[in-house]
Amino acid sequence: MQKTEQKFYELADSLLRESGLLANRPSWINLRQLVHEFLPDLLDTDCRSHTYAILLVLLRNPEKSPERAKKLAAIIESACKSSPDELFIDMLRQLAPDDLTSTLLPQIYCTDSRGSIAVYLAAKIGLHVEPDAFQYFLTARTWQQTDLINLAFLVRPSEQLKVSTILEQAAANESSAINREIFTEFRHILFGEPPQQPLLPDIAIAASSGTVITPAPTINEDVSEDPPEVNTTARKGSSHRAQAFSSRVAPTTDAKGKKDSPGFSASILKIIETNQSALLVLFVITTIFLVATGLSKWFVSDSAESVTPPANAGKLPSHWTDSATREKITERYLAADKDYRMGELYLTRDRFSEALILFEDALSIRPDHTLALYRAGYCRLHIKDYAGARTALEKALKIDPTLRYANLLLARAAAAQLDNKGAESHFNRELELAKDPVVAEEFANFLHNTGKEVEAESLINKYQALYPDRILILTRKPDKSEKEEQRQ
Amino acid sequence: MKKSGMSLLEIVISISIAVVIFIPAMNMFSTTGQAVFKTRNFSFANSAARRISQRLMAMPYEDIVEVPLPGIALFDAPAESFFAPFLNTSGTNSGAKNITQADMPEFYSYLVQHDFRYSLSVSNVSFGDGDEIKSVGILITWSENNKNMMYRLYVYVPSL
Amino acid sequence: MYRHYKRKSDRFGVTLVEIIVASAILAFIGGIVGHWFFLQREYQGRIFAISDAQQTIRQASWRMMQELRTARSVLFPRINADKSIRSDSKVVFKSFAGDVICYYYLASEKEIRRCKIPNGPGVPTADSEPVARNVDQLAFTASDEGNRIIDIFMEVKGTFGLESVYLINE
Repeated sequence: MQKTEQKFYELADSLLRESGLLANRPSWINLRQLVHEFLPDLLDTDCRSHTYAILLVLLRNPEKSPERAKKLAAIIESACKSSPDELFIDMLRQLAPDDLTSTLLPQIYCTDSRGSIAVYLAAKIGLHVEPDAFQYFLTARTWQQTDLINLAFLVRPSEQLKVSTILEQAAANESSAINREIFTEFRHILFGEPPQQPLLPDIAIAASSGTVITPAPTINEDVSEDPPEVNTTARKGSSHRAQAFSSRVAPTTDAKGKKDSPGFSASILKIIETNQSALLVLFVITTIFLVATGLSKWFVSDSAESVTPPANAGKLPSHWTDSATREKITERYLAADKDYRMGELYLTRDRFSEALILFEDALSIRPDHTLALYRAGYCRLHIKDYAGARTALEKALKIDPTLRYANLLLARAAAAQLDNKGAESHFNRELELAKDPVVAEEFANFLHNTGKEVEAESLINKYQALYPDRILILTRKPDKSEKEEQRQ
Repeated sequence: MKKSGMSLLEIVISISIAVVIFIPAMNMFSTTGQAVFKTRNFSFANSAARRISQRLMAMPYEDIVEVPLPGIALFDAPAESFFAPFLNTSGTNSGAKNITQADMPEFYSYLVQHDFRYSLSVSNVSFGDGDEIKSVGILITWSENNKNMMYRLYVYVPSL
Repeated sequence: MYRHYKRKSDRFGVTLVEIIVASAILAFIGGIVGHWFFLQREYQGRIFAISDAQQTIRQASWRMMQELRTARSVLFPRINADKSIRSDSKVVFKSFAGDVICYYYLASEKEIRRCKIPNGPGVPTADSEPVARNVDQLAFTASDEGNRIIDIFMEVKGTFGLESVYLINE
């Protein structure tokens, strides 16, 4: 097998030395026969160089086959990672324009060294592209001066003006200053004094002195007269011409510096320029963040322990907030409350007149003191001031319609004044507030004594059903003759 | 250059809105927290009022007198008030401690911070023959978030 | 034809610029959320501590007050000979049932414990469970001449509790 491989390389070398189209060269037939007969799968992944790899693809795959395009694209992509040699460039020249368009040109978009090498190769083999393609190439990535010069070789001389016009129009419509500058730069290069040959990219110079994959020793031996010389010449020429060609390019001390600094700053400028609105929003977010931080700190510090006393410590405030009811408490409120509580004390001994005075005192301070109004009504009822009682209790109910027992007292006052209809109404309202069996029993007895036995029975039965554990009874009010008998 | 999906600006705006929503959410949480702090003060006021009410039961009837607003501070309180002396781990009067910065710094700080005070609103009613009742309103006041708070507890103390 | 090539550069979906800006936004949002959570965690911790402290004070006070209120007499602490108040970390009293009960504070364990002291010879028997845990300070003070009132002062994690018990059976 090794012998067959050896024979392949020998025949391939002969083929490469011969002139004319590949298929017309004398060694082509022999090599093709060898590949098809003895090397169906061999050397697929183990070729000595990219040149042989391309040759192998051409020998094995018919023109325009997808397999051929796919394999060529992979080889070219790999080849663009290293410094190209003349043998490889010669091999590329043997490829059909269609093959190159679909394999080499896409590499130009690569932002790394592949892009630079691809432009160089395209320029070197004299590939031309359509005028409207350049605006896309130029905006796709950041461009080194050398690459721009090489890109200019891809413009047909007859189409320079057209390309320039297209770029001028594109620049007018372009929002990015960076892109506008690139378009202008390229137009200057087009109409400037062009170099005779494409310039080897700086990255390739650096790579060739370092980690680049060199062709197999046998090839190098065979073609040693050409590639090293070409490379050397190109390298020397590159720095010369690049400097002479454009005064805009800042001179740099080494290739690495040349690569990094302009690209990085341009990227930063591009980021800022194209994301102005985003940066503005970022600024807003930052402000919100700071405000949020401040607010959250304020909330925490608000509750944090501080040893300093409050500003109004020891001073008499205008009002307090009741911690249980949230009522507003003033000194007047407290004074009224004090009178009210004193009145309550008198009530514990059934001293209604004294209590009434205190409740009235409380009401003179706070006329809306509901409980004082209720108690004043209660006291007046007991001292038989029914009209006064009704007034006080109605006021209390006006303030708080749900006040318990105020309606009951009103009913009693009305009954005492022989206002049976009014009494009934108040009894009913009281029972609406709460189904109190004591109130119900009193109401039933009132009805019974006023001659409404049926209603009284009905009510008592209703409440007896509601409260089966209680005994609710109807008692009849003694009439005049009975009272006299009792006295006797 | 046409892009699919949301634009960067849209994302940034939606995030800004989300951040703005955070602030009221934070406020809501903080309000809950403040309620806990308020409950602490309320509980303390409640316990202080109960302490006074219990003392009122044991003290001489005639000694129950009005303490007008703004009241007596629980800290640095004058001698023989409800909160002074406060502690005494010794066997004599000389070892008595008050709620002062020196004797009880942490408790003192808490009381000073909220300016806890007490007042008594006393109403005396005499029914003759030495039968008297005092209605005592125990008012505990304090300051909370620049608000003057009051806790009221009413007790009746009979003379007999 | 070349527009086709152009699309090739968009194949990754996002550009470096977008990634950088998105990272910056995420950093800001992360900062906001992180800071907010940090503050809230701290705040929440304090709230829980206060809430727990209040609960501890309430439970311990309630339990001690219930038993003290119905006690027959307080044996210790009692008012000093010079009629000044007397405080201690323990209270000993004769309960309504006639048992001698002691509530005491263990500073090393930060616990309030209860034990029953036999009337005659024998050793006190302590309850298996403490009355309260995490108590920083406890003092029982006899503050009236009749030894009918015991004041309780308690501190749990910066929260203070005051109680007074009036012995109704004294």
